[in-house]
Amino acid sequence: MDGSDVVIVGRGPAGLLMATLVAESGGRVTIVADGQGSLPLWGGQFDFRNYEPDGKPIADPFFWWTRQSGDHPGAATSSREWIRWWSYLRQLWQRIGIPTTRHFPRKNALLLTPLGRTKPTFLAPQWHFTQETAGSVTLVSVPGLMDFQAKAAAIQYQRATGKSADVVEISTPPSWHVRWQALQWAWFLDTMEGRNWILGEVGRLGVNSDRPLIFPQMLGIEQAESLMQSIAEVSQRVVGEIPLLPPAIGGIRVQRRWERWLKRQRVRFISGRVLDFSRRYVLELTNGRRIPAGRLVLATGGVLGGGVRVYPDGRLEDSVMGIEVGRAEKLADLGAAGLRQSERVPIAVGREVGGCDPDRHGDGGAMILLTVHQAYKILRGADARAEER
Amino acid sequence: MATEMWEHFDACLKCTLCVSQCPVMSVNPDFPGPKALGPEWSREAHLSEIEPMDHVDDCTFCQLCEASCPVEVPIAHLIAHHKAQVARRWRQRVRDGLLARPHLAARAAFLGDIPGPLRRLAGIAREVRLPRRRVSVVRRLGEPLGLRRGKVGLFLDCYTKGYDPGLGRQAAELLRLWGFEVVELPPKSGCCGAAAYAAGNPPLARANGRRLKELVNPALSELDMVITLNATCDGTLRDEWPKFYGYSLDVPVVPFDEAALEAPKEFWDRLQSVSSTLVLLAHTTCRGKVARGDGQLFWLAEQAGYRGSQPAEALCCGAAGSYAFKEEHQETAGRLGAALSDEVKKLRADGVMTDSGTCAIHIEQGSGVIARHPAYWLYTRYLNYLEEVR
Repeated sequence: MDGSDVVIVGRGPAGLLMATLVAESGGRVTIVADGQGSLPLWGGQFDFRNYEPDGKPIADPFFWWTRQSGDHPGAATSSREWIRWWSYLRQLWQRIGIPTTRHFPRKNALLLTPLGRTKPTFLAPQWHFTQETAGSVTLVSVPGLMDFQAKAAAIQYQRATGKSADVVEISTPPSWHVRWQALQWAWFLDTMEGRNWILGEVGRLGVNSDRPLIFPQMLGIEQAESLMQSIAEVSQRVVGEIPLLPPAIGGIRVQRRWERWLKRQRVRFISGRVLDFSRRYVLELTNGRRIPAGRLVLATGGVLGGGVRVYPDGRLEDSVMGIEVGRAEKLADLGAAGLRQSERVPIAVGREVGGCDPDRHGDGGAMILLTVHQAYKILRGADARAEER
Repeated sequence: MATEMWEHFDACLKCTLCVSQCPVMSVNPDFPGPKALGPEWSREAHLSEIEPMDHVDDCTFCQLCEASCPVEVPIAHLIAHHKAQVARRWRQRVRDGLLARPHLAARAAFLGDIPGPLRRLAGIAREVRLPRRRVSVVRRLGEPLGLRRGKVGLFLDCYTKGYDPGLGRQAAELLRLWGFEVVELPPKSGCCGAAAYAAGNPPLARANGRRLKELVNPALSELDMVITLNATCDGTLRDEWPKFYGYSLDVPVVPFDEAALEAPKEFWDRLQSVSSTLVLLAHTTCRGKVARGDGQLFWLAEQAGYRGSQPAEALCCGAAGSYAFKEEHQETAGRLGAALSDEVKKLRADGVMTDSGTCAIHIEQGSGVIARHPAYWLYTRYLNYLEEVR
């Protein structure tokens, strides 16, 4: 980047990834966001492609993507590109302090859900308990935790995988309150008092099995890795977590570390809601603030931003800018709108393209990588053209 | 309660994003949190007469919950209305009444510290450092470096006016150096209302704010913008006045650090040439994060040549205006402040850059290093430059 400002609206995973690419190439980035972004709403795992249209789980997402043809965005993306994009994300996370699998994943792994089911995922933080094939496990039951019923999950796990699951229960510390959910546990376990208490509890369980010891995701926000390491030493077992419903500790960990790192790269975060984008390249906020935005990227396509608004007459409008971006009859318009930049239509990233449906197919991570990297290419291309002139 | 708030709290999706951002909950296991105290309590209170919840007063009114809400539930403001239902003893009422009028409290700055027995009687935290008037000599920085940039009002908040008048003059000198013509506001001490709203007294907040508006009004017509030093006042004047007070300043309200972005290149070049090697921890206050965002102060520190500086990670230092002065909040405020002090130690910072006077004294007490406003750090570095070139 040539050092001129890029303004990104939205602080979900697409916004943060876009900011990272621009900042790492020397560009100046400002992120404008209204609200918290979507990261605390899910565990932080990135999916490539989990299911066939008929719901059958996919083991090899690389193969699936490169098999696509015609209008599908997969047709225009090579295996090599996918490997480059996933490697970049994995290495970036490692730089930021978000540990992932030791080796670059080639296939989908199995992630354990709070209901005791397994589902595919591609790149997950190392806190998440994932396995190549289902094996026997020990689930930790935590008093008062509404989002995770260990006994029911164990029964479901045995039914679904044919492998056994036993349950151990921890007690409650003196400062415990019946209101405590994963977040309160995590705050407690981040303190020295909490750490000593949980290690005492794990020690009390004794070493009598070599099954992985699986906690609901609550083992601290800031100190999770070192606590998990200590629990592994005390119990002499592999230790993992199951991501729960929001506020999701995994996503909170990812967001805090990623944003903290971005701030150190001099990325500025501006809080506010966008009202308009003027012809003079100024972003106007609802509270009257005006942000110069030579180049603008909308990363508002996720669950909270609303992304594209569909009108009864079929018009598609960008929900941030109120700009008409296409027609609903042509599903491809949703994708095309996300990848075009003219004077008034900014680039949009992180939204569904070309008939992909993250909710049904589990390809949200792929949507983020695809749209963000393509948008970045467009920005770089614009830079190169400006230089030629 | 205002009827428009009813519609908003009913919008709560129960997504719990607010809970994930609450600094008080993260250190105080007894605190029920923003969702329970705000939209949930309000929904019930709207239907029938119910008692206020325990610990509602422990909310710092940092508004991080409200800023995180995807559907614009005014969570912190609902909690402020909830606080208003708490029955308080007379001693607490006297104390809170004074702290809710910081422009009057600041007039007592010349009195110095409050002795122990009086603190106990008044319910002031025993060990907490109270603000004292700082004495500073401020000299001119010379002719403007760049083009003329218009006329601005520099808003001097109650704290700056009462306890740190030198900071106001330092900021004014910097703005003049950058090419602005500066008018100091308000002519007489006045409060924007933030303190009263935080203490659960919205009617007093509106009355204080209205009085301030009348004080500054005559000057506004000839100003291009109003520049704020304190992050809390910044958010109150720009965002809260139109939304919750029913009036506005009618000129753009811009935080000092954003005005600093307009400083001429020559200014930054000069600061970068200074040989001093102080390392700063840049802490944007919780209200600063809500009002304008984060990362700006760190950017200023880097731009000014404070190499090796870092942005702070803590969400809130625990001071929260006069929150930390109250004895019942001593523990929560202490725990929040400790996290920031640990960061100072880890970085081996020589100082802290932060955008609120009361936060600064709280951070100084905990960390043992000097904590001051960005205007102070820019001004003193520019003085270093002037001395070095002489």
